[in-house]
Amino acid sequence: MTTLFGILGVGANGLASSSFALNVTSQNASNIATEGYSRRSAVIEPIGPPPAGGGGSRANGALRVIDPFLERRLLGARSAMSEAAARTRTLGVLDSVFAEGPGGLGQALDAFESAIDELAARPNEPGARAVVLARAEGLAQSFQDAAASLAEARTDANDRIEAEVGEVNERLHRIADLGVQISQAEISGHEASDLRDRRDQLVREVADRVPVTVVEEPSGQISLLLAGSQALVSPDGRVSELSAVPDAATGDVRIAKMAAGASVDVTSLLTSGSISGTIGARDGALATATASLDQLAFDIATAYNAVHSAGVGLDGASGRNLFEPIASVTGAASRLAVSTDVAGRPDLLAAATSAASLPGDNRGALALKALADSATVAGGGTMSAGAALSALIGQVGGALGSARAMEDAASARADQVAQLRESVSGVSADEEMVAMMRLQRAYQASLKVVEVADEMLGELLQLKR
Amino acid sequence: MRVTDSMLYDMSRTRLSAARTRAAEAQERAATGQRVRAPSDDPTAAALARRESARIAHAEAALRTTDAGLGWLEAADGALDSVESLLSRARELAVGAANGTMNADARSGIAREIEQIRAAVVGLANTEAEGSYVFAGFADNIPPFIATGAYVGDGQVREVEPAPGMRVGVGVSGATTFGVGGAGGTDILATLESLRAALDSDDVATIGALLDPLSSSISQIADARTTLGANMQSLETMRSVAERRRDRATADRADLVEVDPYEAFSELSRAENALQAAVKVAAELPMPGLLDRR
Repeated sequence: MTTLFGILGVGANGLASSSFALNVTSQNASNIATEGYSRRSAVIEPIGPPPAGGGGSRANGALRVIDPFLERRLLGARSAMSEAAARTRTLGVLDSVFAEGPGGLGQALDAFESAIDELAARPNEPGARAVVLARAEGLAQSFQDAAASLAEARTDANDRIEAEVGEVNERLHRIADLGVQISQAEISGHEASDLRDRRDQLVREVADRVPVTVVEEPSGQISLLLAGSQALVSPDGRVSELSAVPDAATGDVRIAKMAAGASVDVTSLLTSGSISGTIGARDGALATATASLDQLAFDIATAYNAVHSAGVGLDGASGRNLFEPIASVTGAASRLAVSTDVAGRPDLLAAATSAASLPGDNRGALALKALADSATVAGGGTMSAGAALSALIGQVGGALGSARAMEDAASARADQVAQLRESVSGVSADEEMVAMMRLQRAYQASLKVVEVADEMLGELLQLKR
Repeated sequence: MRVTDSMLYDMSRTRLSAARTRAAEAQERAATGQRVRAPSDDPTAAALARRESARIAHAEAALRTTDAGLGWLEAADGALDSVESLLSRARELAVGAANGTMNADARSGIAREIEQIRAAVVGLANTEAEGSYVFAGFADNIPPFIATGAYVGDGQVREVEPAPGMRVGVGVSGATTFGVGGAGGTDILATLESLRAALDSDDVATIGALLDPLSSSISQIADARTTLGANMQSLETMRSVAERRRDRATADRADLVEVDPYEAFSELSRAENALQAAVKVAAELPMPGLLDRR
């Protein structure tokens, strides 16, 4: 049975639910610029009239407006974008190492070959001999500089991977802690949307670094899986950390994870994310460029030594190296140096082929000069040193160029998905203004109900007068 | 699609950043004139440009080589030109002296002139150019002829390689040219010395017998000059080939890595316009909305 007091109650319920909803709207409005904030929508339900209920409306919490599919796509898109960005960042060094310019490999090789050419024309000119030595040193120096830059880039990549593994682990623990807080809050009937927003933001930050998928349990807890299979965070709040393990032989960092009590190498599972991008660049284009540079240095030293040791110096002796002999291809570029046989002794350069024809014999220098055009010096005996360097430049430029193009594409895709997500979960000032007006109206309506019921009650009380 | 305020700001930020990047790149290209400054700008062009740079360096080295070679050849040719005139003069004198009407005093006077001619020929045979004695072969750091007419050079000819596989001698063998060191031919200095001796001893028969060796001396020098001329011709040809190669490689490299200035500047003004537009759009934010309601 409905009473006037009951109507007062309906008005009061309406006032309460309107102010709750207004509260949610103002929360949205003040988070209009908060990154990772998902807008809330107040759930207002009608209350059945007596005898089933008290009548009116009530607020039944606030829902986060999210599209789980978009959230998942966003994780994937961010992983892909940060992978591409990490690859570009790691390979950026290639542009500076192989750029044309003073002191660069190309000009150093040209200068060296030109100096030998000059020696072939003027074998008994001390200046020409000194220039050959200086240019050989310059060539060795530019190979060493290039090798040092590439090695530094590799060290940087390894350091960055280690740092990022640390960042992932730190976030995994925060995600696990938030999971516990969320389930505690929700069990005791509290709002946990802010905690969920924070957790989602952390998951996105993990996804920037390693590929992860999220499986939400009915309890509100999540499983965070690496590459869809290895649990990083379990629903019960256990964290399985990643570790950065330097390879004993190469010093290159690989990624491992504890699984079933044993450390498992999960490097190959990392198919996207910045760690994967850095590793891919380090083991891919950077390693290839280093190996090609080493091979070229090795080939140059070997070819010039073979010809130079056959020639004779001004003292009539032969068998001297022009460059220090290099034992193995690995690391050859960093070890290219003018041989101690001739260092500081331009007169010992083997410009001649016969001790009887000194000092004007230039046949040794002509043989050295022929190496510049010889198609059997480098590339496994298929091209000249200059051609090999040109091919190397094309190769590194291609690697970096396509990394840049992929980064642009991945970044555009990530932007697009982020826009889609924003379109669903972002806060629109207009919408919130409209909601405020509507809720203000609803509040006024409930107030009117209270006022009218109060008036009616007053009139009823006056009947007895 | 639902459009929120953040989306507008995000899009505007992305557009501004892209427009600014494009304008900066266009500015750099227009200012430096370079389209490819690092391998990744255009890998193929960068690789090809490296080849062209190497070609330019090789062509310039070839130019220096041909210039040096031409220097020696011209020095040798100039010396042999003088030697040829001197020998002609010596033969004229010998022809006169072979005439029985001349007296011993006159022949003795001619002997002095022949002595001077011989000394001049030795001096010319020891011609030095750019640090090399041109008739010394590989032993080119010391004068190849000593005053007695003995040859201490090695009689070889140094070659240069102005193009791969193409070798050109930058002189002629001093031994062959002057007929010394067992190279065969007529020993020019010995012939002159014999002539002087025959003149001094008033030996008309010997003087007459020396006319033939004097003629073959002259043709020996002429032959050497023919070789020098042919080699000079080759080097001149190689020089212009190298010049063309350098010029073509320079032009090819420019095509690969440099920007067309007209294109660069029109792209610059387009990029600047785009940037201005993006700035204008961004300045219009926030768009009118209910928040502006009075």
